[in-house]
Amino acid sequence: MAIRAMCWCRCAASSDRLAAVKTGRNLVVAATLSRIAAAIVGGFVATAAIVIAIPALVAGNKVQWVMGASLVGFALWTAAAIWSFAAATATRAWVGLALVTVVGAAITFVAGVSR
Amino acid sequence: MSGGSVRQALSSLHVWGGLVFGWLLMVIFVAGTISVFAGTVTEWMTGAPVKAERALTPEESLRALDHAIARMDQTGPIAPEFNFYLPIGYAGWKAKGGEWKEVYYDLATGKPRSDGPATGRTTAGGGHFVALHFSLHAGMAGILLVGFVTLMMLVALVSGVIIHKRIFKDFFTLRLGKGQRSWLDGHNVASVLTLPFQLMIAYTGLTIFFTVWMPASIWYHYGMPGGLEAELEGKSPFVSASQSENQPPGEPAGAAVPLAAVMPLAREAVSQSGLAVEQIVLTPDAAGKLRLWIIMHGDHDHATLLPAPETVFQGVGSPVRLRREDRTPGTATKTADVMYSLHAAHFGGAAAQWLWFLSGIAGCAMIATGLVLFTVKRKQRSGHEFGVATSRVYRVIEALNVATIAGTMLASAAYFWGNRLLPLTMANRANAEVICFLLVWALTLIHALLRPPRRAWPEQFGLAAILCLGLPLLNLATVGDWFGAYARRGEWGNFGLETVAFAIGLCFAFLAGRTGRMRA
Repeated sequence: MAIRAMCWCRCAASSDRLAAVKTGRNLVVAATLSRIAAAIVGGFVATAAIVIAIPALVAGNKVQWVMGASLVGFALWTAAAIWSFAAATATRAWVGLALVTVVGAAITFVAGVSR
Repeated sequence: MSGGSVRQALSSLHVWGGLVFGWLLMVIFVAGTISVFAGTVTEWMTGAPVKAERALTPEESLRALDHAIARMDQTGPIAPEFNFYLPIGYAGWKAKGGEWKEVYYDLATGKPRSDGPATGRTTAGGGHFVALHFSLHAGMAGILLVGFVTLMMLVALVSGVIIHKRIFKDFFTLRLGKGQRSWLDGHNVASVLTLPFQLMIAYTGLTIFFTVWMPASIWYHYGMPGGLEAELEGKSPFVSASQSENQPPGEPAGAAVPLAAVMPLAREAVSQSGLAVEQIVLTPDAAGKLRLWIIMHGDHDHATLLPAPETVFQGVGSPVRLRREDRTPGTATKTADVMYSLHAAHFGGAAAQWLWFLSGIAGCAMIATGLVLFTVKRKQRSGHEFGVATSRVYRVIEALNVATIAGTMLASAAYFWGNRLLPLTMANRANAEVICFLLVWALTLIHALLRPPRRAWPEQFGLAAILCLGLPLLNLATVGDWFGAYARRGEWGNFGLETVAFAIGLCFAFLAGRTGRMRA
C-alpha cells in the first residue's frame, strides 16, 4: 500500500512537472509568435511611419524624397526585424517599434499642421 | 539580455527563417543566376541567331522611320495612334476598326518579315527564368512573395553575420569529409566569401520594385488610385509626378496629327540632338489627350553604372512643333538607376556578367548548404521541436530540400529539353515549355516525398546530370548543332551555354555519386 502511494506521488509529481514544462513551452511559443509578428507587421508599420515622415519635412516637390526614403526603407525594415528578435522580451520589441511609429507619425502630423 | 542570449535568439531567427524562406530563395537564386545570361539562353533556344538589336545611325533611323510609316496600311492624312520601335524594325498602329496591327520589317529594304523579331523556334527563352526570378510565374501575388522572401534573405544575412563569431578565421576554414562540421564550414565559406555580393544583390533587388514593396510613402504623399498594379505599370500619380519633375508636361499634340508632319519632326529632332531616333509614339495620355513622343537613342558604352542619358522630344501644339524635354534625373532616381544596373549586371560587359553568374552559384551553394545543414544537424540529435510529429516534419523538410535544390536544377534542365523536343508547330509553344518546367518541378516534389532521401538525392541529381550532359547530343539530333559547330562558326554564346551546361552536368554527376554514398 505504501509502495503504491509512493508510486502515485511520484507520478503526480512528474505529471505536474510535465504540465509546468508544457506551460513553459507554450509561453515560449507565444513569445516567439509575437516576435515574428513584431518583425513583419510591426516592422512594416514602423518603417512606413518613417518613410512617410521624411518627405513630409520637405516643402514643394517631394518626388526625390519619397523615392529616397522608400529606397532606405528596406534597411529600416531589416533593422526592425533584427530588433524584434534581439530585444530582451517580445513586449519590449513591440514597445520599441511603437515608439518609432509614434515619432514618425508625430513628425508627419506636425509638418502637416505647420504648413 | 546578455550578448550570449541575443546571439542565441538571432541564431534561431537565422536557422528557422533561413529554413522557411530558403526553399523559395533557392528557386529565386537558381533562376536569377541563369537570368544573367537570359539573352544567351533565348539565342540557344530559338535555335537561330537572334537578330541583335544594334544601335542605328541617325540616317539609318530616319530611313527605318520612313519604312515604318510606309508599312501602315492606313494612308489618310491624319496619323492613327502608333508605336514604332526602330532598332528591330517594329511598327504597330491602331487600324480603322480600332484593333492594334503590327508588322516587323527589314531595316534595309522595308519589306515585311513574316518571322517576327527573331527567326527560329517559338520559345519562352531566357524570359522564363527572369519571370520565375521576380514573380515565380504567379503575377502580382508572386512579386509580393518574392519581395518578402528577399527581405527575409536580408534579415538572414544580417543575423548570420551577428551570430558568426569568427568571421575572419572562417574565411580560411574548410574541413572536408567531417560530416556536420563540413556542411557548416561549406555554408560559412560560401556565405562569407560572397557576403558583399549577397547583401548587394538582395538590397538592389528590393529597390527595383520599391513602388510595390515599399509603397507607404507613395501612398501617403501621392495616393495610389490604381493600386499596386498601376505602380508596377508606371501609370500612377507618383510615376507621372516623377516624369514631369523638371518640366511641366506641356500642351498635347493637338486633336489630330497630320501623318506628313511626323517625318519632318523626327528630322528636326535628329539635327537638334545629333542622335538617332529609337522610338516614336503617338498615344493618348491619362487625360485622353494625344501626345507625340520622340525618344532618341542615348550613347551607352556599358562602362558606367548610370544608364544612358535620355533625350526625349515631344511634338506639341497645333500645328505640331518640336519641344525638347529636359529630363535630368534627381539624386534618388540616379541612385535607383545605379542599383538596377548593379543588380542586373548592366555594366562592365562580359566580365561583370561572369562574376555575377559565379557569385550567383555561390549564393545557391550558400542556401543549399544552409538547408542541408539543418537536416544533417537534426539527424545527429533531434531537436524534438514538433513533439510527436517531429520525425514526420523532418521528413517533409528533407523532401522540400530535395525538390528545391536538386528538383529546381532538374526542372531547369528539363526546360531546355522541352524546347528541343516539343513539336515546332504546336500552339502556345512558349507556354508549353514553361509548363514543362513546372510539371517536372512538381514531379520532383512528389518523388522526394515518396522516396527515402538517400535515394531521392542521387536519383534527381543523376537525372539532372544525364539531361545536362546529353544536351549537346539532343541539340545535334534535333537542330543539327553542337558546341563544336558553334565554336567553328564563332557563336560563342551558344558554345558557352552548352559547355557550361556540360560542366554543370559533371558537377551534378559528382553530387549524385556523393549523395548516393551518404549514410541514411
